[in-house]
Amino acid sequence: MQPLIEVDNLKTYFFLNEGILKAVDGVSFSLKKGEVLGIVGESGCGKTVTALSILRLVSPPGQIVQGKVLFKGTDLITLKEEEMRKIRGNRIAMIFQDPMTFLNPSFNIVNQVSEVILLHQNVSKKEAFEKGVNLLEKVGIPRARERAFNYPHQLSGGMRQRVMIAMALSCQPDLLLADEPTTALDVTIQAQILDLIKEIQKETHSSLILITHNLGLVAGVSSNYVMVMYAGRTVEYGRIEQIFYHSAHPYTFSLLKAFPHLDQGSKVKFKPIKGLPPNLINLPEGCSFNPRCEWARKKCLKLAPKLVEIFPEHLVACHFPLLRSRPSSRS
Amino acid sequence: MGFYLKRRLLQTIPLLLIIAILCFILIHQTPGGPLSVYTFGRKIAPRDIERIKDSLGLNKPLYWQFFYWLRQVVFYGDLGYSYVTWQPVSKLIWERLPNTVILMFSALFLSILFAFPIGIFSALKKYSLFDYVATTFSFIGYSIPIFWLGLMAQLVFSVKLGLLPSGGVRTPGLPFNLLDRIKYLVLPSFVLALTFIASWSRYMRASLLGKLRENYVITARAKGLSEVAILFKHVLRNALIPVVTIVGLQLPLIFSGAVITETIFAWPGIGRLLFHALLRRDYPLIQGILLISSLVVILSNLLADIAYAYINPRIRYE
Repeated sequence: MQPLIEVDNLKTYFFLNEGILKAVDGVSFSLKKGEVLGIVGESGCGKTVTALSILRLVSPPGQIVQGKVLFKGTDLITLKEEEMRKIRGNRIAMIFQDPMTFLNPSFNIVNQVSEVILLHQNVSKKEAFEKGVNLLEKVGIPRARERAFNYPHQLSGGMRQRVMIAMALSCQPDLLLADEPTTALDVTIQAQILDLIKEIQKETHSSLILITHNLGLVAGVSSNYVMVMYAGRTVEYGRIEQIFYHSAHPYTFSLLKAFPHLDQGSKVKFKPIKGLPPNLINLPEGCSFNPRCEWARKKCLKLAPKLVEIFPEHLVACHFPLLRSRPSSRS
Repeated sequence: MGFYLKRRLLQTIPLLLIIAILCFILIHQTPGGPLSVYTFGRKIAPRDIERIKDSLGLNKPLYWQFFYWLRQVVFYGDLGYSYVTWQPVSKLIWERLPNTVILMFSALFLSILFAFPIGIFSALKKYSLFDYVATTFSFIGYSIPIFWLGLMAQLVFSVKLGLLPSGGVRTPGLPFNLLDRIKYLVLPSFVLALTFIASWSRYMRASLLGKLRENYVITARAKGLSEVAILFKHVLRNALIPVVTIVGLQLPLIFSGAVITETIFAWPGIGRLLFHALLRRDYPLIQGILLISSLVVILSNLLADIAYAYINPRIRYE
């Protein structure tokens, strides 16, 4: 089966006064119809910029300098702006992190949902309104017909995120990009929103790219693949079982360790990763992770590792992948 | 909204009362007085001065004078008579008010007509030649005093070029003619509007630049909207909210600017009437004009508040 989307060696740089910030530096992946990819990493590792680059929404000083984004065989990077606009919100839709600031405070919610329908589908205003109300109902907004005229500030965080999801779903896109869709929400609401996204993805059989800093979420939406990013690069990519049970990159391994497991009782302490993510303008020489890596050796300080396939469908960018020392199994 | 309007209109009553008291005290404290005309350089017996004072009620205590005036206004709608012309104050004001309102609103219209597009374009083409020219123009426009600008405009456009009349509202003796009226309106309204074009375009630019960086702009792009649609539908509405506040707050400034402009352009409006009344210490006329113009300002502020509620859904007057 031909992949729905194929990202090949994507590079998005920000040209700042201080220097060139390589937010995304050679990222590649592909995804088939109906599959789910989780992109994981710390803040500022290039996850969001990757998603924005797919939609070509990176604004200056950011710029896509290299790479291809093949969507159903067409390269989005070289597409005309008008053609690109027909894809945005229609074939590829995005759910953003903070539903308060990403919704327009001056328009009621049904207006913001039906706007997308009016734009991409050949329907009357009335039909678009009806469709908008139906979508709001579908994403679980109670008394949707009345609440349709509410403004974002009149809704709770969870309800706002549901509006965001309704907006993204309005044209039944082939690909959903969800950028930290639950980060701004209460923990109890997080699970509901995640379930909703999962349910809708299954129902519409669309592909989903879930961006998060929380490995637990990636498992929560039953992703097929996981891509771990660090300092603008892919450090590990593989099927979810491989990432969770046989993580080979020290960074992934440490991330899993940094995650508290309730089932292991109080004896096992979770271990934070020392240090901070590097400055993307001034990356350390060699492997970007070397200052924080417990296993770093001389070679790691000199030479940046390439992404190599160590097992079928399991790629790692590390000179010394952790093949034997596998993390304790998680239930 | 209906309840809000009623409440706001009721609030104007105590507000007007306070304004009336303050004005009354202030004008009676100014040196001179309506009778100084007689005492200065003319031989009028002190007895006659007393007689005039008595007939005008000026020898009564201040509070008595105030309550007498208030009673006349509230119960009879009578603003009194001018000390100078002996015409009813309400008639004098009523004759002049339409001219002032015309001047104020054409200046307001011009200010918005120019300030908003200039501000929007400056924000969109930030640091372009246009932006720099607009910035420079704004600083100059904001710094020039109205009276000087008015005189220069008369010098250039009326005296040197002979394009436009230098003063008045219409060609004397001509029947009503819209084009003729507009010709007379151009110079004073542009002179009055310049300051506001200068400042409001800056506010518009700053506000728009702020809103263009908002996250919902990214959402709008991700929906597939064109940049033009994003600007006019999503950004502008939000950018207008603070600008409308400023416009509402500065409406009184247009009025006070009109006083000067009317004086320079011999525009028979309330401002010029006030100017002359002030010079002659014509108490009833001053008091009447201040009351009516406060009412105009209060009502235009109310109008601004309604406009504000209309564009900002987070403010609902209930």
